[in-house]
Amino acid sequence: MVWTAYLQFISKDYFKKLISKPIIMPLQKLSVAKENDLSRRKFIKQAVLAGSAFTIIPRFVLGGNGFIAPSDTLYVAGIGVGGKGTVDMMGISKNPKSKIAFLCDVDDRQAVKSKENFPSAKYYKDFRVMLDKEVKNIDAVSVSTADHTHAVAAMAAMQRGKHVYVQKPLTHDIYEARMLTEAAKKYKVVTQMGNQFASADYVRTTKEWVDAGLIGDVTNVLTWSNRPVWPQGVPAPSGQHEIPKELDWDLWLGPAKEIEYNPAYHPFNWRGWWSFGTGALGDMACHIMDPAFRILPIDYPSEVECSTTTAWSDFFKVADYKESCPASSIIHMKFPRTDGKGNITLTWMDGGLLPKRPEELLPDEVMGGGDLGNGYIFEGTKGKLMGNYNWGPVLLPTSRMKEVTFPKQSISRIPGAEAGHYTEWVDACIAGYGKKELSSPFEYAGPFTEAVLMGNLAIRSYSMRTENGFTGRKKLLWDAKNMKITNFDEANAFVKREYRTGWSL
Amino acid sequence: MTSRRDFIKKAGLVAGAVTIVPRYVLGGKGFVAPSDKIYVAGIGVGGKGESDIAMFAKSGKADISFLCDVDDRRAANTVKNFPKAKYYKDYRKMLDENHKSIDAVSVSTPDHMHAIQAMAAMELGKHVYVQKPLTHDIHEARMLTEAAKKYKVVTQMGNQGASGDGVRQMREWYEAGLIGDVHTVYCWTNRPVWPQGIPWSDKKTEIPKELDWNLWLGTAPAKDYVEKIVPFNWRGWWDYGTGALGDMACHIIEPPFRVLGLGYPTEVECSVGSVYVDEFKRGYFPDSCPPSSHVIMTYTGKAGKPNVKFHWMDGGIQPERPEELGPNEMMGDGGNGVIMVGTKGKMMCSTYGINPQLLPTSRTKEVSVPQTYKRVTGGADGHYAQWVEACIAGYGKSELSSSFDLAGPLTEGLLMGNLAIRSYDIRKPRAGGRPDQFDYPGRFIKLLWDGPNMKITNFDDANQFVKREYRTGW
Repeated sequence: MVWTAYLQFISKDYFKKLISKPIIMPLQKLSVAKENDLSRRKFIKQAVLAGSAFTIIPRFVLGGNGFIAPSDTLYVAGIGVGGKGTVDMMGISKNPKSKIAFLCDVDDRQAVKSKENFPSAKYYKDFRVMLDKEVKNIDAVSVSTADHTHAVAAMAAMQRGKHVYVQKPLTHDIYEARMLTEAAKKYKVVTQMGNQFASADYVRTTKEWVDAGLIGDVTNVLTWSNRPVWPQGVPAPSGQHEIPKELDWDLWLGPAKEIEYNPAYHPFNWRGWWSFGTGALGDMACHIMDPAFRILPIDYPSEVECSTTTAWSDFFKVADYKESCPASSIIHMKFPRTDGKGNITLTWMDGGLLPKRPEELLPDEVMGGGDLGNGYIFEGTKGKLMGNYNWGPVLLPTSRMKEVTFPKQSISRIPGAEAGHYTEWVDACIAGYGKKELSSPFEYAGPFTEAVLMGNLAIRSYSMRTENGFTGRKKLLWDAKNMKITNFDEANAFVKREYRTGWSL
Repeated sequence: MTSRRDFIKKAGLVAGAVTIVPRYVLGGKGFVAPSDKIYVAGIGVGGKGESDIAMFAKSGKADISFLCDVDDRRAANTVKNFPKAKYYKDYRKMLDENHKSIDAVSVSTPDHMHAIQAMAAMELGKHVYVQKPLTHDIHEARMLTEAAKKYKVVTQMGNQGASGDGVRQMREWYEAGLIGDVHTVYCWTNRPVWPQGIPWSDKKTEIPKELDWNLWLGTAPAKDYVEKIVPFNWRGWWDYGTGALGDMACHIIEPPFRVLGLGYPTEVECSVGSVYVDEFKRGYFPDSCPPSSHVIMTYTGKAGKPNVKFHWMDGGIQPERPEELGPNEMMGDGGNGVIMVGTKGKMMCSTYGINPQLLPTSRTKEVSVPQTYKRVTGGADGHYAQWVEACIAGYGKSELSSSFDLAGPLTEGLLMGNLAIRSYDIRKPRAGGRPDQFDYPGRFIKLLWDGPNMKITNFDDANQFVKREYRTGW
């Protein structure tokens, strides 16, 4: 929903004008039904005949080490199937090798569309019940819930040996990201985070240019987003609201602390509240920082600092809206290069704020390459480049685009580009763990998400009031290995949050 | 002093009534004043005006003779403190009736009235002390700067930190080459410390009987009186105030301006913290200054020095911490500060140029640079007395920390930030779009400024913010 709503917000025609290629890919052309499909169908048909009742036989029963599956259909269960979940179910189903077999949502209203799209899929409200009951009938799980439930839902699936596709950001807190990353290895499941632009062409082009040395060694990265495009830095909602009968509020809360239902949280605006969402960073950083993480030799940051726009409740009165993510923020992080050759710095700005325009950009050239308000700039020892996830990249000054010899394409493109992100995962699930490369497996997406969430840790530390004032307003030093801020212990409260009783990872 | 008093006494005896004879009657070229006192009229004497008047009086050489305020409640304290001063509500009337009895005028009104009041006084040959920011728009700042020369009056803007020791210390460090050539400056403030990016109040209410709302509006567009707009809230509304930049920039950008000798910017770009009123629904409150802003200006380097990138951040956002600053060390004063980045080092200070430090801060104690700039007696507090003394000495006779030839370009610089902020918010219906769809042509670009001609050359819509229209009759 986020994406579609955003398209409406900026108008489709206008959006199309801004990008060099249409964003809607002809999906049906991407995956052509193969013979194997037929054999699987045949197999099922036989199984049905034999058992005299339709039993779904998932891949994992048939598969196994070295075992060549008689079918290549992947039985998928969706957890959280409204909004972005609706889009994800459709995206996954475009690969004819997948079958959307189960749907789960805590809100029947949110599930309506997906149910219409997949009438034969069995519907559950509680993912725990679904996973328990259908454990033998599910190959893979897609998680598109609110951020606070990503980790518990994904972990439950992985523990049962299911491949997982998890919407971005991978998790709500740093600890969860570390745990999911380890679980992917431990349970040998195929994983993908839903930052679909990780499968787009632009980031591969950017990598080819950087690898070819067109801008020298990258020393600094600037990233920015116009998110939040909803109110943040606002007081927590109040007032009593009747829980819609279609919604199981207790299940929606999941691991989050008990709080009264309010339409300000669900279905969309959970993003702006720390108990459930991860703010602007959670919404967009997994797209916008992706080139930096994918291309540069960095993983965990060593330092982070931030500042945010202050919310004022009255004259001279700083508001204490601790539940709400800030209206805008600036994050600076430092990453030791994994090759030991110094550091790379990265800046993130959101809420309308922009980094300084590169000198090389002409006055009337639009920063970010469209007025979408999102973008990234790599600053290297020999030049700069700029782009965003649906435009560019371009070298700066843009006149360089006519002057340089670009490297030949050396990195293969994902068929269908960003839309192929789903297909890629389905194919990899069918091929089995370790058999196929993915654009955003957890071994990549986990550390990446940790860095994104490190920005939120800094924001929340910055807002923290103690009797001595705002003591978290300094540079925070991060011991990544031990997941610990070493110079402001209060910040460590944001590494791992407490789950509500009855919920665990 | 006695002779002056005697003179007045005699004059009084002669005329049979005490008539104040101001300095300018007695003064003139080469004329040594028989007294060392000036007769001061205050326009806007509540709040900051109240403390300004008190400070002039404290110099011992200023006679607070006239007070003017459109709001009797605001004037009450000052009227009580200076019972002999004659009180007016309309500064125009005060100047008309008493211009022969006034040497100098202090202006501490809301920003939208600074220029017109200061200009009226200068045209009458009065020295002026004007609260910061000097003016509300760029054109006014240029006009006042020129008027100071034309009328040969002693001028001072009320950014008292300009008289502090800190800025002089930093000039000495800089000129001793301790940080090389500065190419980047970061200034930031925690202002606004009140809500901005909000809709205009619809709470119309009765105008308090002590307030002449029409006079308060002055040059600003006619509008109904709303709750809480006076005495303080006007700062956050473009019709009257100048936002965070207007409130604090004169105090914060003074050190880099003075240290680097900056003139007019050549380029400006900005972004502001956005306001959303609903999911995907942007708030559009063009009357209100923004909740936060990031402005970057380019100044041409002086005499072969590099160009200077001048960053301004407000509303809580701050520049990146310098590498040289320890992780637990405070940047600036926490909420406000200045960092100047040079080719060989960095220096940092807080508002008013206080607490100047070289970075790393340990370096501050290691260096010793001879004092080449005379300190102002009393430091920042001496800013008032400095002006009083200069008025007594006469135009061109003594140096001032923030005379309009310095304060004018500085004010233009910060108002250029506001021009960029307001240009950023210009919206136009999207061609072929739905009624709720807009384009913001002033965003994501850089504005080019022709300083001498006061014109943005690549986005004409921005020029509406160079000079605003006054209400009919002003």
